Amino acid sequence: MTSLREWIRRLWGALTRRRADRDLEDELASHLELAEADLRRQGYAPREAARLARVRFGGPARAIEDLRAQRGLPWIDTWWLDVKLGLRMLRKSWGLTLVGGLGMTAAISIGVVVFAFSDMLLESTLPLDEGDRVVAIQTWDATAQRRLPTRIADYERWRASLRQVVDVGAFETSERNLILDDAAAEPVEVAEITASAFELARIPPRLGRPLIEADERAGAEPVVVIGHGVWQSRFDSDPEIVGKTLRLGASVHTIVGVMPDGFAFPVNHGLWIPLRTHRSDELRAPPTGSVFARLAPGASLEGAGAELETIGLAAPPTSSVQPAVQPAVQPSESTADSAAEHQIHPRVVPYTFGFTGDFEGPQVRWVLRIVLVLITLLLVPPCANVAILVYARAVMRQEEFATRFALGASRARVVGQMFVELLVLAGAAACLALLATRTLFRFFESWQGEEMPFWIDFGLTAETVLFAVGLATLAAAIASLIPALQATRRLSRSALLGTSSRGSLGLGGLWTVLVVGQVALSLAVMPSAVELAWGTLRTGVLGPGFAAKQFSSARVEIDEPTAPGHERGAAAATRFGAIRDELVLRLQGVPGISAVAWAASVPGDEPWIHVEVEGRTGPEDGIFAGRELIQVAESSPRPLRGPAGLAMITPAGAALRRARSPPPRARRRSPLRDSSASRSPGLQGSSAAPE
Amino acid sequence: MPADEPRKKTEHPAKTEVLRGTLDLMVLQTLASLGALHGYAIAGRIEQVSSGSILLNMGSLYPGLMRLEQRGLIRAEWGVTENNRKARFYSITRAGRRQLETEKREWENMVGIMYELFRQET
Repeated sequence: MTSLREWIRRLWGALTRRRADRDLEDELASHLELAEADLRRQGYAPREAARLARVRFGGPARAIEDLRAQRGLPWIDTWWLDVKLGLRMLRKSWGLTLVGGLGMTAAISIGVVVFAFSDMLLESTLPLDEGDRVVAIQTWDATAQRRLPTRIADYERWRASLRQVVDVGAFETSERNLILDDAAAEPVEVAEITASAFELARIPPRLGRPLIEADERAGAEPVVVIGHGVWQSRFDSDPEIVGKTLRLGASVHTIVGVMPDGFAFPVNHGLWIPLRTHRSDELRAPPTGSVFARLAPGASLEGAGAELETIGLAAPPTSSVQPAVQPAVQPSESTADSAAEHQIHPRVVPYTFGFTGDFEGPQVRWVLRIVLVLITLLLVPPCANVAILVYARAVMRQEEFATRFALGASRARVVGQMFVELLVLAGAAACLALLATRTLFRFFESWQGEEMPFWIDFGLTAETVLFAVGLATLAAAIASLIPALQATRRLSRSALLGTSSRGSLGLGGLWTVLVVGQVALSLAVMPSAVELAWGTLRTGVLGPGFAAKQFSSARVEIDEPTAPGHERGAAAATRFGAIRDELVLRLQGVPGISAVAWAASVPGDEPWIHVEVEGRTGPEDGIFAGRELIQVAESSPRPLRGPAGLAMITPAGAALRRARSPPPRARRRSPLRDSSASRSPGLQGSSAAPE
Repeated sequence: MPADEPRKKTEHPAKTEVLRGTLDLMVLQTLASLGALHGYAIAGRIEQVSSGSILLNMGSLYPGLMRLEQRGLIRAEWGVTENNRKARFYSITRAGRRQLETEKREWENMVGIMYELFRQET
């Protein structure tokens, strides 16, 4: 059995080939000199002695070949020779190199980008001590396959009962106006979070202290922990910052600590204030509200999940839908019936997975596998094209192959050489694809990096590089093996006959099928491609369909220091409505403004919402959006409500099909229920919206 | 070979094929007995011991020496012969001596088995 030492020495021998060659030649020459000297001592003439020495011990040339084989790693030498030959052939067939290389680069780039992105989102772990043991605990609606807001009662129950996890905590993200004495107010995202988060993170503050449990109690002094970025940008890295105050919306908070650079738990936060769970019945909808924990020493994710299933929810949920569109309206009977039909249970998932959307762990991995397989199939069309070109070139190289065969090369050796040639091309394409992916990620990082969770690493992982290598190998195999096998099929016969078989290697049935298949595939995808391209370019080419330049839009938000969706949320909605109406009135008085309208979102940027329509199911588990929702509305016997003012429609030049004020009964029992759990103030402010 | 087994000698000894795996053992034993030697001397010693039955050409000897060196059983360094010629001298390492002892035991064991087998059948 070859030992590691021998492999290392062989590798070293392969790397120091030239020096070792000189040593070998010197040693064999010395051997022959000694033999000749002996023979001369026995009375032979010098010339005869030299001849006999060579007869007796063999020629040095053959011995050096044997020694070279023993010294290095022969397959590396062979492979390197093929690589050099491949580079030469690529330079010679520059047309094939250009076309094939670009096609492969495009296909590999798509695969690498998708893989790298999914790897980044799904396989990331928190950059904390034992960050892979931090988990999210969710309330999961198995029927609708989505996360629900966690009720405070459930959170308290889990925190008191779970033994497989420690440092159980929760957070909500809210947007506040950060107001400093010498600067304009600026909206910032604030994490309302339990003190356990800082124990879970195991990162001490740079200055002062983290949040503590006492800060969460009702009546405690409002405090805030600020991040390194806020400390630098807003307070000029003031070393005496602890004890000073800042305003978040209407409340003044005392700064008690500064976290070190890079700390942004739970998502991408730079300001942390205590979460006071007694103010509301439930956390905000995920991912803006979530429960987190750390697996206890020795505990597993499966064990924690089993324990959580046993403990369950505090009480059967009464509703799985959130009254976001109609916050003041109590859940109807049909809502309760619908909730009963839902299988709602708690689940524990890796923390970072808790932010990837409404997916089951195995489900998303299966989806990912299928997507990767489909993406891998994208390699086939460009590689089939390259294969045809390679085959055409192989026909031209028949004499070369026949000569090599006659000199002792096997068919496998010739096929292997063609594979390596294409591997060189595909390898270059993979390098370009990785470079393109890195560039794209750098661009994405500069564009969206600050919005992304702090654990997202925009670098290329070893897995991504391996995936690119795999795609390159597959591409080389697709593009080379079939043409190589086809072109060398009659190699032995032509070599033996001493004739070229070029004339007999026409495009056979296989190639006809390939060409026809490609044309068919191109025709099949063309309508979809045209529709997709037109859908993307239509607005740019034709415009939005109205005189967009005559319109201006602005976003209006108010501080919402308490959890919405309940009485205080309704109060906030009322306050927002009053501010909005006042703003509209003022704007209507501004010269040059002909009309003022409001909406939850500007046309074309409507949020996706989950709705259930009585007697109708959506295209995807009851999810309607945009045009589909309008189509349902047109065919629905009952009226639908939209989050827009009447004036929003008329200035845009659209005619209302039906419009009337909602009767009280329709308000109480609407056929359309929003179950998105979305709680933006704009949506809440739509309670007075016309139908 | 057992001492009581008379060796059949001829005037022109027939060349003997080196059994697979035995060249390493021969080289190690030669170096263990005589100390550092260059390749030509090793080949000469084996030829002498085998009474000319085993003639090692360079294509057999040097890959074997390189294999042993790669395995760390022998080491090599350039030196000068007594006739003032430059040559590469090989010497056995501690690992080589251990390997030699192990292989010698195995070889003697195998020879004993073969001898018993042949003796019983005759």
